[in-house]
Amino acid sequence: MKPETAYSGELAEPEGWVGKALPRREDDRLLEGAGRYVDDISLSGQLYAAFVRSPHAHATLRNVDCSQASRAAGASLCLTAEDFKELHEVAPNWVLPRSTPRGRPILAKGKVRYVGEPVALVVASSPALARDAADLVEIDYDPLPAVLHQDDARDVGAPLVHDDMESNLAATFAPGNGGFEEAATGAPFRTQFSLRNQRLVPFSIEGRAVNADYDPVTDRMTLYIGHQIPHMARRMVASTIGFPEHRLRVISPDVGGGFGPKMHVYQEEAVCALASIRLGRPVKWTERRSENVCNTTHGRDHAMHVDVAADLDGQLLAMRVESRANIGAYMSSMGSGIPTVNVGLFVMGVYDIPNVEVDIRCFYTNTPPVDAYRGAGRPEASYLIERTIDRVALELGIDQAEMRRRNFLTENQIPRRQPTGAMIDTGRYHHTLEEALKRSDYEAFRAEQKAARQTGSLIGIGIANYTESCGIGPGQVQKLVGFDRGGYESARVRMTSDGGAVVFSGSHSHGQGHKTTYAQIAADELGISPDRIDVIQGDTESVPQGVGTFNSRSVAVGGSAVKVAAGRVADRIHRLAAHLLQAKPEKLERDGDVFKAPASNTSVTFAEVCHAAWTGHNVPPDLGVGLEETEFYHPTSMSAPYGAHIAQVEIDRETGELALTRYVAVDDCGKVINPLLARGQVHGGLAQGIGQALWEDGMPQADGSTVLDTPLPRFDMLPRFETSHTVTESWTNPLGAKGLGEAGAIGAPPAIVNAAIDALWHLGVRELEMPLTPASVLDAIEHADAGGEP
Amino acid sequence: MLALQAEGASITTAEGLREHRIGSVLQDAFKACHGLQCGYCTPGMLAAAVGLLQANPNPTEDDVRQALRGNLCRCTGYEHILDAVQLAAANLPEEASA
Repeated sequence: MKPETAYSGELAEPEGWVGKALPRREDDRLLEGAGRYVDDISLSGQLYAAFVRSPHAHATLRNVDCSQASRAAGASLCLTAEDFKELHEVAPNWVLPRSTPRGRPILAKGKVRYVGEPVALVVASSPALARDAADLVEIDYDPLPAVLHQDDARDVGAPLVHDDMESNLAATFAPGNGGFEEAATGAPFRTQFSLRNQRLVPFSIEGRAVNADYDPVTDRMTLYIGHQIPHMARRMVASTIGFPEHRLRVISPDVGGGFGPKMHVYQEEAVCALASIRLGRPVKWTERRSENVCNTTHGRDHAMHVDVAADLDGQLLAMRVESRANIGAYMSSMGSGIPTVNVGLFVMGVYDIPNVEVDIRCFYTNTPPVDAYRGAGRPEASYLIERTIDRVALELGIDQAEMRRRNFLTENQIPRRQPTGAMIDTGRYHHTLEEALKRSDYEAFRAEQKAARQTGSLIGIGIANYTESCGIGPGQVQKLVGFDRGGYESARVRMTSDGGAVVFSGSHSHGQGHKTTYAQIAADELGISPDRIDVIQGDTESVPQGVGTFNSRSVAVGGSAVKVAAGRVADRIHRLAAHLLQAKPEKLERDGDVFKAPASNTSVTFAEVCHAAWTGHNVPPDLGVGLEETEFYHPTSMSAPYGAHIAQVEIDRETGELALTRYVAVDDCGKVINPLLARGQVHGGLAQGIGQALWEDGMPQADGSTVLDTPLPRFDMLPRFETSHTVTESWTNPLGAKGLGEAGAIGAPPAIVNAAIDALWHLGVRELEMPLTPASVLDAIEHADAGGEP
Repeated sequence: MLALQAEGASITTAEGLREHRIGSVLQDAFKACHGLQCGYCTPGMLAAAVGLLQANPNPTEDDVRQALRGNLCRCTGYEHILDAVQLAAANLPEEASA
């Protein structure tokens, strides 16, 4: 059943801890320099690893000679693929049906397939000596023709990234209900255009790092990895190197940003673990920035084409989408699923389109593997549909906001499964859009824009009504698409005998603030202050099991697990209190920390009940000793958060420079646990989405420039954001939450590009490609067809 | 700056900021404004902000943006850091602006 949903632009004053803007409990440590990231952890007998990497995009590997490196000062080990009887491979975790997976060999053998691919490992007594020794590894390469772009990779006769394949085609996916030609033929209006969702480098400020500590005495291994999904990391490393999972412990301490790439296992984790086994000493590797941009996974990289039919009022009739995705040289962990399922299902956005066909093809190229990056497929889908809505509106002369109103799914169509397969649990799109229009002074801007055109200045406004899908689960759905991972999340809530609580969670914060939000959720269930609740994550020995943090699932799935487990504990506390007071549970009253039995005028404190549970001196058989509950919360469905983002831009006609003058974001993520932290999540997502729209490009350019030459958003490059929420609670989980962490990265690119096109349409500009560099904008203005002037 | 450039100077790191007049006010403000997420860039942000408030106790928004533009953060979108530095400036005791 759908619960009562609330709607407002401002959040209501909460009754309990959930909904309060509490400052974070994790901050003191981080503010005092006491953060503990993997590189901060040095162990007795510590050794250091350095990798030798391919300088070629594609080359035959003739000979790898470790003889000098092995004898270098301080060096204790040099490993190449030849040192392993069987070539271990990091296999993908999500293998789409009808795909051709090729995992990453842990060290290249026979051939290298991208710049940065690890070829050899050197271990030495210091990081500097390891690097010096690595320089002594001699490698003979025979360079081969390389293919960098998907549209080159699909050509007949293109260089083959994997020689044992007949083409570079890695995966295909074609959702939709068909019927495009029938619906589009003879439609009053039809248009088509191409667009590109460029490759991005996620760029967490802390790179990846691993410290592999094999103990030959106990035959156990501890891996310190800054990771988003520690339990999955344990499983993936164990299966990659053939080490039993029950003797492998993964500890993920503080994590300096994740954004997707830190939920995979790469070659380095596997090789360092194997080196530690060989040496019986801990081996640490800390990624350098240049390694981060060439071996840690990238995001996006789609070349798309859309063909759309509508009536003259702008009502969409049919849409066909073709996309070619570049997945890099190997199939990364989720590399076949992100560009297919996570894009294809969501290309209809929040709209009612009768006939939709989608055809997505993924290609191997000689580039670093592409995988999940904040939004992971939904930004690509959202960019496509929101650009399409604007394109049709502008060609037909319909206001872009009105165009959306005419095509929204209505409230009585929801819940709904879209023809592409996307499940939409909630959607009050009109409300959210009207709220955003009001906050951005849309009508006033239109008047101002009209006046500005008289003076020749170029201002534009752009809307993005994104939706996405968060809180991945249940596992049955994941199985259908070949995603070999659970869709649940775990929580264990354990009371201590002084009346405190410890929450163990299988999610893992890498900046989201779970220590605060999960404590707020548990506090409401237990009826105690969050100050008496600690939250433990990131250690496979103490946390029962977990799926982890990605897909904006930590609150909706992990938080629901906390709520359910804490609720069961609270029920047991109540029943034990009744037993201790010899009262019926329903007759018991609670006043703060005291349980009272009015009939007998007796009372017991909360802490006394917890104490009694752990001594077991007087517990009824149906409750037993102890006070803890474990929940593997398994959602029945994902949820579909949505929002309306509106950007305003001003473009300098002479230089092509674009100024983002205002950004209004109204997000509906359902129940907001902590408005302060929610705002932080929106801000961070927006910064990355704006980075994609305006500056970032992860693909090496023809002029030799690389991602390190393109700007990342800096302090003086972003405006203040105007954020708010509408609240439509989800019925898919007991919290009513949906997900928010990726919203900004999904909404910002289409809002900004739509605004830029809105500013330039009257000059005849029809298309702009991200990033909107001054040169590209100026070029578009100069080549615009002046006949476009309305 | 490079270590060599600090010869003869006394150095305060993030670990010592609690004892620092401006640093401690900044730490409280960063917490109050949610000026950090993963925390990895935070010591650098604090150091740059201490430098700014020492030189300019009443910075404008633009002053803060310029003074901290050399420090990258990928989590916060910077706005909460901006709020934090301005809150710290407002909360600094009178002698700070003397």
